[in-house]
Amino acid sequence: MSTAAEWERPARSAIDPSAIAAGLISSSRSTNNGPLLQVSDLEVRFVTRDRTVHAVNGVSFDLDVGETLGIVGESGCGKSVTSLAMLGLLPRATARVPAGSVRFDGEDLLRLREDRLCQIRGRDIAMIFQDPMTSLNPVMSVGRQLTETVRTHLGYDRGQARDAAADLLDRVGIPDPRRRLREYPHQFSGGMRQRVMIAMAIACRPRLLIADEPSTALDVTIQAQILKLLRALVETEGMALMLITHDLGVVAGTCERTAVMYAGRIVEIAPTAELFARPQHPYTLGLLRSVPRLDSGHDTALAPIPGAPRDQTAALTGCAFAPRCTYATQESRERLPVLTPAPSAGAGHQVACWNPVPEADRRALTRLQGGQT
Amino acid sequence: MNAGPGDDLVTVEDLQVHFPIRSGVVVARQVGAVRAVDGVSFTIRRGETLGLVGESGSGKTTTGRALLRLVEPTGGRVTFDGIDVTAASAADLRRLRRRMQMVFQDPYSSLNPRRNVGNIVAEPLRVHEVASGRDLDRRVGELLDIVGLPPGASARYPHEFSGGQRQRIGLARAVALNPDLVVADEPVSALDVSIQAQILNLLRDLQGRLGLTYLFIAHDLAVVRHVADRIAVMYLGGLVEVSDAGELVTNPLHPYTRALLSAVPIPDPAVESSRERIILHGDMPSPAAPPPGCRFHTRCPWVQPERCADEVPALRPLASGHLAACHYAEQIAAGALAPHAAGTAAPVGAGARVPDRYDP
Repeated sequence: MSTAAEWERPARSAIDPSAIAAGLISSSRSTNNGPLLQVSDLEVRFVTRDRTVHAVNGVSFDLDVGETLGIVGESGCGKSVTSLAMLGLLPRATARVPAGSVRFDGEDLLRLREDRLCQIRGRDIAMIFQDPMTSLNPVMSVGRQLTETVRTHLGYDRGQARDAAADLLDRVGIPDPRRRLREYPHQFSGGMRQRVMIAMAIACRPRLLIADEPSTALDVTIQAQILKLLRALVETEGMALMLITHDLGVVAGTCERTAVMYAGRIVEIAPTAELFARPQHPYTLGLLRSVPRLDSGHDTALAPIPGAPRDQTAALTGCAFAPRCTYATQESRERLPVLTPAPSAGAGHQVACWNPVPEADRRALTRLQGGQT
Repeated sequence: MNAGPGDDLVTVEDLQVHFPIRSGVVVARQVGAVRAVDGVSFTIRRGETLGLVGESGSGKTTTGRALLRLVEPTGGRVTFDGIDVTAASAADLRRLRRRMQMVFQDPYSSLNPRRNVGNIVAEPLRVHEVASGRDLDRRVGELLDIVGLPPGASARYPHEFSGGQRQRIGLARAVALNPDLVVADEPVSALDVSIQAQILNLLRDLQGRLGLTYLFIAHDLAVVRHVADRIAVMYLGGLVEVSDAGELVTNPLHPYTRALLSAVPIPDPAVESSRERIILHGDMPSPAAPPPGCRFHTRCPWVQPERCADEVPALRPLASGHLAACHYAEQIAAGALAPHAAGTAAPVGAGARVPDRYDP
């Protein structure tokens, strides 16, 4: 019986020294001096015959080489649509991107020709999705799907590709990779399928990995395995990670910076520790107060956010959160707040709010959590 | 157990639900069985919330359904307030079901889209002939009110409501007959966090007002910790640990519970960066071919060469009201046994050489 578990303390220490020795750390291919990714004023609309949905309403953020950024928000806040728009993966029939730019390594992805975009997608930027079963081709062996990526982008011949594929499966922790290459997706469990997706994504050593709810469909013990794998890969491969999730606990343990989205906008962005310690936007505070914490007491009442997210068929005039917000003023309802450095917060902390949460109310949150922070 | 038998509303003894696996084209022959629930015993005390947690495939949903006989148990016994549910006739069962209700996970598929909300909530009252005419309308109005829906909701249809509001409709229907027991199967897992908190608070509020007993089935330990008085942890068809909720979280005795707790993300970077994590390798084995001995021994960080692989551990009391099914629970709690693998475990890059399916 070989070992069945592995101990990790602290969370981010699990880099395998042999992987570093084996030369798995890729050198940066960056050619420009700015951030690796720069998204500016991105807007996305979905237009059908009877209505228009304003899904993303001016999203801007940067991502540096090797950085991890978490994007959190509830269903419909535009977090997935943002990432799909970045890579030109939105359905052509209904989606419109009327404004914005997505500069990756100096090139605006929104204005690239399709053939150039195809070179970048899968090679420089890779993406993994929530449901590994529907993202894998059920009638193609895992090996074929893995070798397709490296043969297309890196021009490997069949033998090289097979070796590379086996090496990839090994790197994502799949036992007996040579045998597994001949198997089909249905022969893999959910966690193993997600590992295969990750193997495909890192096949060309991308500089940016976009992971859209990579662990949401998985059980919690399997989720822990996958998140640990992603953390280790970010370090060994030196890639940037954009992690999209609804789970505040997942970003807390994985990302250096976190952006909170609501109704198609980033309402707050900050280094993760800073965001959780000093949330400025009432929505962020509301989210933190509505999640039950394993380490808080039984009798701590949850403070839900009243109401439900707004219908996004009309353009915004004021703050989208104002109807549900206890801090809303007349100004919130009439003028749209933009992301600005938060007055009473640390470096890199920006919030889009006319009336950020006062210090006293944040302390109430800390009390609620049993003084943990 | 420190409660007397009079305090127990539900007693489950050695419950088994096996689903046959059939093979053959003309004559289907049984070639095996999926042991979804395999010898589960627990009690639910009157007025408490018992949380039943486990990962997908652990058998928690099947246990909940077998309790109400929505699936037929293949063995064991369920007693509800002194009445043997497993032996009840169809007529007895019909009477019993007035007192035990269920709330489902998916608020989209558990409400009939062609009937208005008033009809949906009134149906149990009509079926069990407890109210009719004006009385029925008044009762429906009351029910919508206690779950926080406007009176006008009665004439509208499920598609006009959001997920959270639909779950309120499901709750109104479940409490319509003033049941003693409500089995809530993942009632908040399809909802966004801000809405989830509304429903959790409503569940607690209803329990206080109506004196309900809950069996709360969920995979999310943080949610279960928040609502449950006691927690039972399931793994691969069996219970591995039962304890008071606070005690379970602070002092878990079964290795699986420890791993499960350490895997739950906590929305606090300060805690996340410093906490100890036990990462299990591989997946849960198939319930059609569960490993012999302790079901968890194939993934257990503390697995021992003796007993674990060949002797099924009994769920035994280790402290007051705290039961666990592990041969070595005392030694592990005392720190006398070290988990395998600190430093020697296969690191991510090298690939873990542990079979992810148990192959006898």
